[in-house]
Amino acid sequence: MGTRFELVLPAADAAVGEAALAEIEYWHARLNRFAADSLVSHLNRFAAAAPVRIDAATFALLRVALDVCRASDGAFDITLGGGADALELDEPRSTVRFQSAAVRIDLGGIAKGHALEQAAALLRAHGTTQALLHGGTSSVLALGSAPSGDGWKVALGPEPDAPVVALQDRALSLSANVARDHVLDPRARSEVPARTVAVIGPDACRADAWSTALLVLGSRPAGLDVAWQTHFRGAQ
Amino acid sequence: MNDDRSDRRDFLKKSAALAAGTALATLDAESIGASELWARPGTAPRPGARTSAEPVRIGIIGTGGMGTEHLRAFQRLNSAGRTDVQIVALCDVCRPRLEAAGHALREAGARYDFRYFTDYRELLRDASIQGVLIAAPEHWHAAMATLAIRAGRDVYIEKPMTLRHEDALRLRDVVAAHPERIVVVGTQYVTYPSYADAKRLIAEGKIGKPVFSQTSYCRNSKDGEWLYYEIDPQWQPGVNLDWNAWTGPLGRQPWSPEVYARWRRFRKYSTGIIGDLLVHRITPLMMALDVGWPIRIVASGGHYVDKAMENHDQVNINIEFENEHTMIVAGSTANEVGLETMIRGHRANLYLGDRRLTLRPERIYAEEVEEQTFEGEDLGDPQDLLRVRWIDAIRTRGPSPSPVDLGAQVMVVVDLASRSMWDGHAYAFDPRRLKARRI
Repeated sequence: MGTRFELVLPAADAAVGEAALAEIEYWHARLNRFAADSLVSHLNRFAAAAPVRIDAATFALLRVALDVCRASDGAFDITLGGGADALELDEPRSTVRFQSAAVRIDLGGIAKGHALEQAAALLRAHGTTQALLHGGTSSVLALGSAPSGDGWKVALGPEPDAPVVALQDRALSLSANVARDHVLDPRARSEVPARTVAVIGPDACRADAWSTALLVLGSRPAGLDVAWQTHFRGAQ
Repeated sequence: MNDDRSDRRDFLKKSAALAAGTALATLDAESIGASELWARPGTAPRPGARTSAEPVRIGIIGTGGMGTEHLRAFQRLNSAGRTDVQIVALCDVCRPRLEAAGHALREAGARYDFRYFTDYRELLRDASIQGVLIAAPEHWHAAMATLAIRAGRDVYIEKPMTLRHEDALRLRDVVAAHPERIVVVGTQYVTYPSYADAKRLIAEGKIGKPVFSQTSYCRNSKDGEWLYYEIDPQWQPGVNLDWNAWTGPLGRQPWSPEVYARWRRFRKYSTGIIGDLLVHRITPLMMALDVGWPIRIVASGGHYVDKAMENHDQVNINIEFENEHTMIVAGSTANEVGLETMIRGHRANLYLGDRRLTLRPERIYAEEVEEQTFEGEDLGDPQDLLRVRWIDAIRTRGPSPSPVDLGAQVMVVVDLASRSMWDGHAYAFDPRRLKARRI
């Protein structure tokens, strides 16, 4: 995922913090499309020839990716233009199959949120009730409240006047398209105007997917549940 | 308190520096708050993509007899140009064995650096290692393989795949959840060409329905089996050997150099002939037959000659499979005359050598089925071939040449046959629920 992950949690939970970071490393290795021995590379190599059985967490991740792809009319697309129909998910068998040998997936837009969710699940399972987790500061997950008892305060950007949000059992994802990034709209293959988008909602995986989708769309679509907050800066 | 706040600000600065250029979130100092909070940045490196031109870096866990044989074999295969492997880590709970293995590796021609480990979990933290070969005793296989797979390593597991079938089924689940990992079970006879030919002929319907098969692994010795594993007077638990780590999943046991050197002779640690020898013959036969899970298993035999051995020296097993097939298996360490390996079909029978396969029609189908002999290519030593195929699969990310799915089915036979030997009952296995029960 090419970024730094950090956790903030009570010192007494330091050991489980190590385990949570190991969980993030685990998912980083599996979802890295640039590593020949990753799960994503395995799927890109074999899932067109026959269905590949995958674990429940990866299945759920792909389900979220396809759901957001459909709800955003392809603005978020892990198949880079193939759309949600490029993948067939078989829930009873827990398998995925690609529709053709040309299909490739890239989970870079959703992997950080997924890794944070997996790490948070591990923290919760070990009794941690307060923590702040982030990957590269663009994907943030707040577990419980900050020590002050309020939400964990996060500024939506480095500027002094950037809005500050308080997160409590909420995920935040920011996507930005600045001059050097050249984010492409997967539908039209055209460049997305410079803008920053923040999405706040109940899960980090979906937040990541929606922030990418909204970066492309430039406005809130009808398909986004009312439980999700959005913030836009720049071109709309 | 001031120091704490300073540390927290330092942490925030690191986050902000990463965010620079991407204009993303800033974590507010006050929200991170009190001094009891703890932060640790960074993630450790993991094995990543390597070019195919680089040597495959592996570690060997368990440097006793088999582990040492594997490291010599890989060096030999390197010299012959069949592999390009560096054994960069050796792990054993016994320091004398570890150092002996290191000496053997140097003697075998290793001109690269390698490290010693006494804890396999530490070895798995070395991000440069792509694969691990597990040659520790079988009661450790499932735990070690599971951790290695989750740590992103490709794995070669010596046979038997596990000690008990429940561990085999759990490991099967772990492997199924990680299709990207190359996991090989060290039952090397699956590489014999005759079994691949038999599988093809059966799948093509050439012998009709396969109804009955037989195989065996029989050998003999004057003094008793596995006594050739020497007891080393250097071994001192607590000094140069971590005995509690060796017994590991089996719990604390009294120190016994006899058990440590020759665990295959003891019931708690090994299924004896069944897991150590018969898996070699049962595995490729089940691969060729493809008749599904075993559903009913009964075994008989005893301690007929080697009365000093806790495990049995004569074992005869009867196995029924879910797709209507019965297999009989004979194992002995008291007589070397085994059964001919063969598969009886409704229309014809297959006689399996290592390379040669002969198809002979049943008398009533002699007019319709032609007798044929298939001579497989001489592929050399099967264990070397499996080693090479594991390394090739690591490079190509190709399928496992000896998969855990098959190994789990074999372990149901091994474990339930062993239980049957000890308690005299037959055992049933439910393929849908993956549960065994005593009959």
